[in-house]
Amino acid sequence: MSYFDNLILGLQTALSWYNLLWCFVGVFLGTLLGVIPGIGVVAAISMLFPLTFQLEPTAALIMLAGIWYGTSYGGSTASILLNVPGSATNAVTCLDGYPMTQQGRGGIALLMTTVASFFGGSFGIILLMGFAGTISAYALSFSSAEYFSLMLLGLIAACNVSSGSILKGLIMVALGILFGLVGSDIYTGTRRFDFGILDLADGINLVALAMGLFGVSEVIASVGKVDGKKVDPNSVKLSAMKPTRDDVRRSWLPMIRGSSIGAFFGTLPGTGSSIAAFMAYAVEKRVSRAPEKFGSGQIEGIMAPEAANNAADQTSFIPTLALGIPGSATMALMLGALMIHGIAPGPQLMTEQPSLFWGLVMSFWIGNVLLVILNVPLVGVWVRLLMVPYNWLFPAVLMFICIGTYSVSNSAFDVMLVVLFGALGYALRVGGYPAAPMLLGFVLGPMMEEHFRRAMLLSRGDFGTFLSRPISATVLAIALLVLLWGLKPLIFNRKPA
Amino acid sequence: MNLFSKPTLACIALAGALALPGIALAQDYTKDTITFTVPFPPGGGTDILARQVVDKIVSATGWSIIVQNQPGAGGNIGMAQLARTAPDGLNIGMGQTSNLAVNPSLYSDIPYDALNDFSHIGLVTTQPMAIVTFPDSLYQDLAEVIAAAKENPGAILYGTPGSGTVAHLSLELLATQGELELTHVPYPGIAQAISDVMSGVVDIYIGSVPSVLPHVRAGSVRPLAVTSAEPNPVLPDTPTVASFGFDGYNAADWKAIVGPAGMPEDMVAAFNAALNEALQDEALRALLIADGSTPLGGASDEFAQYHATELDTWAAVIEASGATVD
Repeated sequence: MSYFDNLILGLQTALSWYNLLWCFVGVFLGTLLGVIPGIGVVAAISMLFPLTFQLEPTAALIMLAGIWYGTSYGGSTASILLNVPGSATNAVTCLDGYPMTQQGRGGIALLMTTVASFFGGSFGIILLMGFAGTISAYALSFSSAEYFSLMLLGLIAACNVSSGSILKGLIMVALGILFGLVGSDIYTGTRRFDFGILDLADGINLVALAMGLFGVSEVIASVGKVDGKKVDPNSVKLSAMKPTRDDVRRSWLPMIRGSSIGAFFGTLPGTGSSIAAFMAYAVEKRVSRAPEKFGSGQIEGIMAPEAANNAADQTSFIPTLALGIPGSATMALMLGALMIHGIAPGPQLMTEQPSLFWGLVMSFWIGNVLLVILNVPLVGVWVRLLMVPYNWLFPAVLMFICIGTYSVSNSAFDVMLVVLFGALGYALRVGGYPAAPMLLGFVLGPMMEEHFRRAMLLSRGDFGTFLSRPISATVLAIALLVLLWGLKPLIFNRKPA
Repeated sequence: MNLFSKPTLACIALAGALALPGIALAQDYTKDTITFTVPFPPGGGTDILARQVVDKIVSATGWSIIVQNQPGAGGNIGMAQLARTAPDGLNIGMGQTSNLAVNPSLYSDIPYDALNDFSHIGLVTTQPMAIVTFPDSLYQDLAEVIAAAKENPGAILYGTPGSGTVAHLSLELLATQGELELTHVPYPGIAQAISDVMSGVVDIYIGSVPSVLPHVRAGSVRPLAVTSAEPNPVLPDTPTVASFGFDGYNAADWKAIVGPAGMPEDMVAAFNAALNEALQDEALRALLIADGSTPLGGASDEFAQYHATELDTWAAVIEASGATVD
């Protein structure tokens, strides 16, 4: 079958009323869960996973995927209006999105992030359509040395993201890595730093850590303020969304850069949309002529990460569908949905199940269009969710956080961890330490350890393996440059005290 | 301090109910809902098997059964929780080789006594592991891998889905029997390992049959041997490890239904009968066989005896390989 036959087959599949319905259900739930802070996409998909047993496999995947990329759209709403990331991928959007709201430009931010999301999403889908078939050779040249180097680059970049000093960023990354090392060592099975608590044998639950660090600490911080934060209903009227000519002019390049960064990180297993958003933000801050203005409502600071996370959401399907390699917990769940239906994920999926593969890909277009409709004209509906008085909203958010955390592995211990990390998150906030690099360190630290040790095992103890492999050496060189770039202000521009 | 909670959330119950269409009201066994613990996350092998079997039991008996995933610590958390429930017949679950036979020897501190804290209901399936290599590998069969390992001790790198897994220990058993020195490269699972296997970064990989089967069918890996005593129907042309001179070699990952210790005998018998009836279902058998599994069933005391033997077998493997972790 030719490429165009496949596209038509995919469109026919995606446009059947059954698949359309489930696509809508997916993006609707995704937006809803994205808007409500605290319930992340992994928790949401885990909760809805059993529902997919009853669906046809294509519809099941279309729905789960809709939730996945839908949360990235919806998540920016809470980030911008409330300074609470709806999901981890939107955390970085808070940095400049919320200041825009404080300046009365929240409506513009909402519209423009939807534009950026659609742009990034479309960019990702086009790459997915073009490259999924030819990607396997590219992925096979990545082994543990390359993964280690890439993750090191990701961490160094994350330190540059932090709004304070790079030193505070490094401290938080290190703290994150320490938390990440709790649990079983996969090389020996030995349990580390678990204080004999069996619930820590698999390590600290990512959802518990993220929800505590970002969700609970936000609630604690906001409760103390007498006024609380209010969403101005006028800010989300269509008339308040009209961007200035200057906004549009300044948005193009960040969107393109963000989409490219997002598309790249989406394809790499273990990275994904959160890292992509951080990286895109870091790059914007670095290329900007006025980096010190970032964090005060710069439109570049919301366009790049929102384009990046949506591009990454789409391109993360490339390794998942083309190779059967899930890059994240969410992708693993999607492959699980396929396997329940007896469909083996892997390189043969595209040829054996063309209607599933292309139907899913074409449904992304439909889903992205639906999301624009859900997020621009209907944004008022979602905002009403956020306008619930805070004495109602905060207990509800805490309850959702608890349910979401509990539901990941039916563990009450995880709910206690949320409380612990909520307190820690608040303390860090008071001390001016950024939590985002800590989350990244937490996720990447153990993966880096795993890949570092495997690379050493494979090279039989030769450190040179990281430099003798060309891709790894290139990435390490870039990482070094990024580090020097970040340290530059500390070394050269030090102002006399 | 009890860190384990009872599942009371409506959403979990709803999720379970959605997964099980046509739950009839309980008739002859009990009016109450039975909780079936799966100590792994949704979507994994144990979860899929449990839901398939529970589905059949529900439609045959009309009992109300909810599958509840209680993952963590390689299944130990869910099993520990199950062991602590009341033996009233309303709490059963799916155990397997790793929790019931391997971990007791591997870890000094697992929070249950695998043999004595459970009522044995019945074996469900057994499933071998498969040893695979990359398509362009120089090794045409397992004998050549073994010869290479003898020539260059430690030169052969083998990937596994984790340290202390049944797959890892099965290959350790092979190494011990064949007096080979192999280098272990653990991965968190096939998904992370497959690109290293396909590109020949590791020489061989051992994993469950359903995990490697799609890659075998796609031609991205080549099977060398299966660990069971007999060849597997889904890999009919793949010889057994035993056929390469490893007499009596037989390593398999079995799954079985257990309840907390002290369940009344009539309840054990009722569940065992329901399990055996479910395993006679042709559609279910076909699904299991297509996954590389062999339906087992049989009497509950047969399972108890088999369990005791398996505990000894794996304890010996762990001792011989020195794989104990703490």
